[in-house]
Amino acid sequence: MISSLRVLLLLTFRSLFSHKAKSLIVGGIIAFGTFLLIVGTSLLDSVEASMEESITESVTGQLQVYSADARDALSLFGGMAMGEDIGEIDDFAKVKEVLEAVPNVKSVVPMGINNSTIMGGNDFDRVLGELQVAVDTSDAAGVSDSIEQLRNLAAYMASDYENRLAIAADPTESQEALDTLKTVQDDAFWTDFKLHPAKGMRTLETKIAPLSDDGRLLFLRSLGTDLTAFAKNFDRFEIIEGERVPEGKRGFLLNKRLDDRFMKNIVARGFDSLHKSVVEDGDKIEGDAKLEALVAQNVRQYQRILFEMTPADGRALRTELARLLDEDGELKELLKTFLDVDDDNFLERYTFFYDQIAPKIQLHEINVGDTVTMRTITSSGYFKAINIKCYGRFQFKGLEKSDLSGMFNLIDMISYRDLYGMMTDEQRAELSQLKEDVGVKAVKREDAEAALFGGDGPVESASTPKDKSHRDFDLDSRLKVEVQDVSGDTFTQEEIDHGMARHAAILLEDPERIDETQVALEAAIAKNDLNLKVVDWQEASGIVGQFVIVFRVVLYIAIAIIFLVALVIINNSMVMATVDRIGEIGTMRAIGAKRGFVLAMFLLETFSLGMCTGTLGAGAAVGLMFWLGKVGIPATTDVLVFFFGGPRLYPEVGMINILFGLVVIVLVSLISTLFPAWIATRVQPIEAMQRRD
Amino acid sequence: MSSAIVELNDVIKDYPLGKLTVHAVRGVSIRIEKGEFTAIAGPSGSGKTTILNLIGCVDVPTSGKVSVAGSLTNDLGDRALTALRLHKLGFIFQSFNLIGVLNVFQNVEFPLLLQGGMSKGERAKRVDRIVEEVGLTAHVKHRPNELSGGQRQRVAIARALVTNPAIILADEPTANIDSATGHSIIELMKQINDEQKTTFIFSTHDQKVMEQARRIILLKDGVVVDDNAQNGDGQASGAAGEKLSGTDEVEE
Repeated sequence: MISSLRVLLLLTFRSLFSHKAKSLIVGGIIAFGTFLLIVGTSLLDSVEASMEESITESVTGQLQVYSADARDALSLFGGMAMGEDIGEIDDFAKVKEVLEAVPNVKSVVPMGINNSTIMGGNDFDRVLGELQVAVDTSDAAGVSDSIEQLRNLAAYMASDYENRLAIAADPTESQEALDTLKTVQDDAFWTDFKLHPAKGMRTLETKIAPLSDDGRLLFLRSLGTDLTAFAKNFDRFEIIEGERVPEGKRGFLLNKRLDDRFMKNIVARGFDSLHKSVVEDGDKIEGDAKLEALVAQNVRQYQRILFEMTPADGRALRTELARLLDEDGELKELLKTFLDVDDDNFLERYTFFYDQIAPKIQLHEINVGDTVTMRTITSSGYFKAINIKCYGRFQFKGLEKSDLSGMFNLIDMISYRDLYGMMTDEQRAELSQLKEDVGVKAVKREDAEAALFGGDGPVESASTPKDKSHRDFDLDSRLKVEVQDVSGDTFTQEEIDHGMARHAAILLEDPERIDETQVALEAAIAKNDLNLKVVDWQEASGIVGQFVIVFRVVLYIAIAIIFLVALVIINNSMVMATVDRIGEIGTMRAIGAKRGFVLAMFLLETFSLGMCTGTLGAGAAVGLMFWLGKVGIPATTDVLVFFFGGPRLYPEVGMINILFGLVVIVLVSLISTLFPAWIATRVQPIEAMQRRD
Repeated sequence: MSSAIVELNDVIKDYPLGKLTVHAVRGVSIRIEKGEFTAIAGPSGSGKTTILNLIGCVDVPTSGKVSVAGSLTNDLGDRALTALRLHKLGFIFQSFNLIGVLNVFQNVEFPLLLQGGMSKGERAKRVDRIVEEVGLTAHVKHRPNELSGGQRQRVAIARALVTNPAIILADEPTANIDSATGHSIIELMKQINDEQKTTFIFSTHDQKVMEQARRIILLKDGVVVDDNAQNGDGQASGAAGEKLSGTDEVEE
């Protein structure tokens, strides 16, 4: 047996070398297949691992829990507009206590997503404020600066009303506004103002200010959480400006990416977009319709610079611009020329913008340290507004450029609960008293019929989220909602923990043991009757987390196709080799070799070839992955940044990838040899007699 | 009768050839005793290779009985026939049929490896002895394509001999080598036959080669037209030779 194995091996290697063309083709395919399989699965595994890091270390943790009564699935990335019903966790403290006792659970962090609006700055109000200060402090230069700005703004507003007049069905209102604006553009008004500033201020505040547009309405998507626990548990989180919200304080943190994308000065955003395209991606503005449109838009938005600057800054800027552009003229014209960038001067002007212009304007809608009013409609349908301080800006390390990861700001849990509409017992009592007085019953939609036409007793549902839509927000902001000033409040950890959360992130000591921990968590939840469901990060992140599954399916289909082709080619060339060797096989059979010997000879041949060339392919794959693991694969798009968990993917190749690759390739080559091997066993010994060398 | 090592009784072998049937052997009865040195002669298409195939257990008759080394091949399946070939028969082919990827030693060793049950040392001793016997000790590491036709056929003889078979079958062993070498090959076979009493059966259409045989069975159109054993003389007879010479033609 051993001796015939020896001769088999000998025959195998000898014939592999003597049928070089066949060995080369089959071996090449096998090597390529193994290479592809190992590279493909390694990359995918690495992407999955990186994405897992991106997701778990920025927001989800390894596992998430939320109410078992939820009607919709938790989907933290993608989806999750406003209407989802993911239920509520009534008392987070209890959940935390039970779940943190489960082995391998590092910590449990409460969470909830909130959508609220804030008003962006109103230039007229701002300058008016500055004027008031200048008047109060008898700052003559300040006063005249502010007056100049107000006159510019009034002129700008007047031009706006002239446009409206041209298209309005009822011109009365616009005409009145225009007349009012004319008065402040008149020198007489300002001469009078200097004599009677109090009277002038009144006119400006009551007559002119209401004519200016409301500030820009900004939407803020915030994740309410225990900010201290969040910072401690999510490694990707880092403060890049300002500070963390002090423990026990209310406050929110701005997501830098969101801030840059949606709340930065529009001209600055234009420069940022152009910078990305022109400098990072190497595109040309000229001939690119999208980029040309971006430049044109920036030119049109010159007022967003002009009106945000004090006259003194404006004068300084005019001088700088005249020098840069080497031409003279009004600031407005110089600005327009400046903003009309082209490929040659872009970088110079981009630098100029950030060095000279940005410090003179309000670059961001919200500055660190500002207190803003967040408005929302609570889950019980009431308007709610609170003043809350912005303590800083944060980003998720490595995901600075990704729009997919954690597109939300962070807000403290107490404020989140306020905005969500959780009421204190006192408020609850007051409300039910109120309802009793007016005879109103809160009725859940599905219970409406019963409530209207008889059925069970009164239904209380203070905390069921109602359908909310963007449309309502405009109304909301125009309603006079009492704004709670809560910025000074402090809270104990107890207060943060005891209360509502929508969902909670569970962070594990050892993420590898996620499956068993999930089972243990489910058991603990059932035992303590917590009525929660546990989902892993992939499920919790929604569609984004499932991209990898799609990639995997696509890769496997591609590999299957490649292997099918390989199967056919290997099979074909083996059949040809078999036909070539009929005489030899016949001779062996005539001399006394059994069919099994012939079969074994063929299978062994492909097996050894598969192992050798497969190992070569695997070696090449490991080499490539090792090299890629060193230099990294650059993430060229925002989406890739997210999948790569940073600007570059440093893939790793696992033993499992190599083994899987080799096993699959050897199986494929053996299967593709079965038919030719079978043909070989059918060769009759008599063929030996017909052999002619 | 039962002591015969090869016995053919009323053997008929038909081959389908397209729609036709070729009657290759049309009723042949031959009896060969142990230790004989027999030539099966006849022109192309006379059925000599078919008869050799039947004796060599690589083919079975359409009708009639073929008995080789005590076994009736008609009754045997592929496995048993393979075992019979491995243990009782040795083959020498017209085209030598050496395994190109193996060297001389390995080619000769090959049947022993198939048989199994012999230690490496025993095998090496046996192979070396046989290779020496056929005079190829100097070429033991050579591959077949490094040898001349005569040398290759010597390797084939060594390979056929190495298992100590009861019968060695040779199909036109000299057809692909020059006549002087052919002569020495037959002489070698004869010598082995003398020393080891191995039964040799070979086919040929070459008059000179035929004359080296001790017994000549002459075939024509699938029937035995002459068999000098039946004529009673132990040596190659002029009669059989003459009968063949009239129809001598080069095969293929």
